[in-house]
Amino acid sequence: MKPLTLVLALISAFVLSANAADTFKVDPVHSFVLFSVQHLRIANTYGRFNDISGTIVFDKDNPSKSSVELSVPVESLDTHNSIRDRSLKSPDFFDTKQFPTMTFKSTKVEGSGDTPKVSGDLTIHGVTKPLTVDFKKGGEGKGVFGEMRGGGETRFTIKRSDFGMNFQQGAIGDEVTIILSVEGIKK
Amino acid sequence: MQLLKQMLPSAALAAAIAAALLFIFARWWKSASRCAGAIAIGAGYVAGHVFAAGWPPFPPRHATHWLFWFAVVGVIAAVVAALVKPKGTIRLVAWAIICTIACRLILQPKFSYAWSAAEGWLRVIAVALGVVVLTCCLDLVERRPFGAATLLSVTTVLCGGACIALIVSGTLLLGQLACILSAIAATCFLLIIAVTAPFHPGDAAALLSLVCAGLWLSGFFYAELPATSALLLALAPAIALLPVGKESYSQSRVLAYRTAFVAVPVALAVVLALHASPPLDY
Repeated sequence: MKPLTLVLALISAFVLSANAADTFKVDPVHSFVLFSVQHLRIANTYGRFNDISGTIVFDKDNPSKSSVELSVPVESLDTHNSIRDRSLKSPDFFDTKQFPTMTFKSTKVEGSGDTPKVSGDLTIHGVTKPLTVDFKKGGEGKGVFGEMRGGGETRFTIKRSDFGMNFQQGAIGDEVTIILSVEGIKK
Repeated sequence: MQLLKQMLPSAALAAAIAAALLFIFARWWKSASRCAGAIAIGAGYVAGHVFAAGWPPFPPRHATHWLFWFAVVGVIAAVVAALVKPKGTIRLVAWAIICTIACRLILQPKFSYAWSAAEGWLRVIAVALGVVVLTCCLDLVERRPFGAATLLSVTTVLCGGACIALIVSGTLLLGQLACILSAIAATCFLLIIAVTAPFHPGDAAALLSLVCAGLWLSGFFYAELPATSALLLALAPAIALLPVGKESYSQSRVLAYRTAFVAVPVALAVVLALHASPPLDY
């Protein structure tokens, strides 16, 4: 009876783990938050946030049980120009000393396993707005230390005026395109 | 050019409204002269603020929004003072309470992210006392002979310097708001000099000190205005109280001297802010 119990226990453990959602901790080294905004109606200016943290729970079989929580310190903003960075971090735009983080917290995940539609609350500059994005799931594989990794990418556009950033409308475009490429390490 | 294009319309609108109101009060509503200056300057600033930064929500969501409401509070305080005519001590205590509340509100994010309650309140009380001293300095300047013109010329220089210091400290928006105040003060000054009508910026000192303090606090705590620049700007009006030369000097000469004295720490504040700013990478 004992070997049978052990086998049953192993099988049930495997089945349970296969059905359970995977939890990934966002790897800031291999995750990117990039943005572009029009400057003087001439060309796009690009920037990035060099830091990101968060957790992604991904349930392939039941995407509705998946969830995303991301946090980006706005102080990590980088547009490759210190004067522009200072202006963007000042009360003119992101006001980083008053609103140090941007966050996204999902409220609903639906759709197929590889291209789930993620809805949630995006908070920037102290203003929270609902946002729905199409998340394109990437691959999964082992990292150099044998850790399991997974990730994906999404692109979406927001209006900065929706988040109370109205300064210099016209000179700087209202629409901001954001690319979020995220890689997580399975817990 | 882009910078001027951005800053001039709001400054021009604010100055035009303040000058028009001051003119109307002086010509047709002399009974309001005790608070006419505060109403004109406050209305001008409010219009300029809305033009530059949009209508602020209530309750305000961040420090810049509070500057609009500080101007409104300054106008209300001036009108109440003109109507009630409270004793000096009561007026001072009431103003100290208003300044403490104002400082607490504008520094709210620091309480959320940086300071403990005790540390925060100590800082708030110290800053509020500073604002009260600033108000007293501007009030004393205003009460001296040729005081209205001196107050406005000093404010023009002070806010003009603050505008440049704030812009080089990374915040064009706060610089634009300082420019609005400077333009209002300069226009009202010219109006006082050019027209002999009894223009009197009665009780404008309270409003000006509260909005200026709000600008410097925002610049220092939420942008990159150096502490020394903020301090120099805050201390500059006190220099206008220094005795100037001989009694035989004409009023305009005294005014020019006082303005020049104030311009020294203001210029130093600008130079320090410029020195602290990163190099232009073009």
